Amino acid sequence: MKLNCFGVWFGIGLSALSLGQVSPRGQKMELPPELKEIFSKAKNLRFSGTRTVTFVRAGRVDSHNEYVTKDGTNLRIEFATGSPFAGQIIVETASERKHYFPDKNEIHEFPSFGKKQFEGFRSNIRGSRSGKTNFGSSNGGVIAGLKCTKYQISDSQSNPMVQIFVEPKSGMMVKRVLFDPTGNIAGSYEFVSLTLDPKIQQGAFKIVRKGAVVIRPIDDLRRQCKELGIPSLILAKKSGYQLENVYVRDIKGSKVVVQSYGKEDSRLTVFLTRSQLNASDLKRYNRGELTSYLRTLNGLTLVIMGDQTEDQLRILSSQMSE
Amino acid sequence: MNFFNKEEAFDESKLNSDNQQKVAMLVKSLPEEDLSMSWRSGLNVKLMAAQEAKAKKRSAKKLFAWGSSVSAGIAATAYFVLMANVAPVVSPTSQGDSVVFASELVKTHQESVVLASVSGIGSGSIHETSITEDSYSSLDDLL
Repeated sequence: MKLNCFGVWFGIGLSALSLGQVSPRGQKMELPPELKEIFSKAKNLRFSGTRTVTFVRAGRVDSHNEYVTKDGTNLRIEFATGSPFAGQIIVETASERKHYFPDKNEIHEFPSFGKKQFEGFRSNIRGSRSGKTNFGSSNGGVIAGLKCTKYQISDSQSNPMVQIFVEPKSGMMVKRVLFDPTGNIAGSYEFVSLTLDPKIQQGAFKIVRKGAVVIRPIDDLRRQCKELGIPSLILAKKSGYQLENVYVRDIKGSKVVVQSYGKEDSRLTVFLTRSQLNASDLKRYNRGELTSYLRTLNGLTLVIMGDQTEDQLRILSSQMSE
Repeated sequence: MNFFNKEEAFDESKLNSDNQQKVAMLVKSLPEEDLSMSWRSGLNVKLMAAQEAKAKKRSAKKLFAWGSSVSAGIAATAYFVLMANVAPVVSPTSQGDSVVFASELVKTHQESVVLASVSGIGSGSIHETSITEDSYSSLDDLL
């Protein structure tokens, strides 16, 4: 009996490990109580506002405005005129996310992004190089009419990783800034106007568009892989990760199928290509929040990259199937 | 006068007859050269027609052969293009290419993480959306 109990608990322990419930370095990540309380409040927030999103790509800064309406787990995002995404509408509930592309008359269905944007940021602070992170708080000034507290998460060498600006009473995360390893801003959002507890239109969190083609990430994956003549390998559901996006990138004249996976506090990217790649060239980037694992299968190169250990990535790579 | 001499005398008289003289005159007056030229001309026309028909057959054969070569070329090109799409050629062969390739994969992953964290669009949408100045806007429909 005791042996059976031990077996059960050992199994549960292994499952937790394989599902990535612990940090990549084997340490359970704990948020400071102050932040835990803030994120707990943020779960039930109702607000609408306009935020400016900035994304830096190869040194080039791209910005666009998003109109955001949120009611608990429900979210609606529209894009301002002049934005490259103008006309697109995103609606998210606790279970799914729908993204409407008017030019293609397509609705792309994804699993819900969940808490990633407004109620959590654990995936942003995973694994500093030494395995330690420093939290600091200071006056964040007034943003979108709200008095904010600024929290900064740095690595052990005081390199900034993430900054968040929160209105403490409501838990509203008004601004978030992510830094790259060189200390430059990699991306950010900042609300420029905000209304807490607004009147929200009925049906705001639904997309009803007769005639629109519904596309799921798995459909996209199969189509793209078929066009490139490579097997449409996907990560098994038991891994806990959900396929969020699929697209093809051209790198050095070779087509690469890129798959983005996510779960609550972890993100993975899977690459499929016919090109050859030296594992050692990838391994030199392995540090902290970034580890990769490469395997080749009948001329197909599979790279899995993310915030897990190499062993965990190896196990995940073995869970890829058509 | 022997029999033969009698016959010669007979023929002579026939040849010298008025009718015979008229026929001889008529024959002499016939345009022999003209007849010959018109026949030749007719023959030439027939020969030319025959040559043209032959040439046409030859050029048709040439065209067919050339067309076949072009078709074969197009088919071969299409095959290689399709094959290139179906089974992309393994490209990063040199050490330098592999290094750049690895670096691009890392950048792609990092972009995905950042975008998912700060923007509603998600990492895939930035690649799906063609960024142009005249992007669609629902507001444009109202104006």
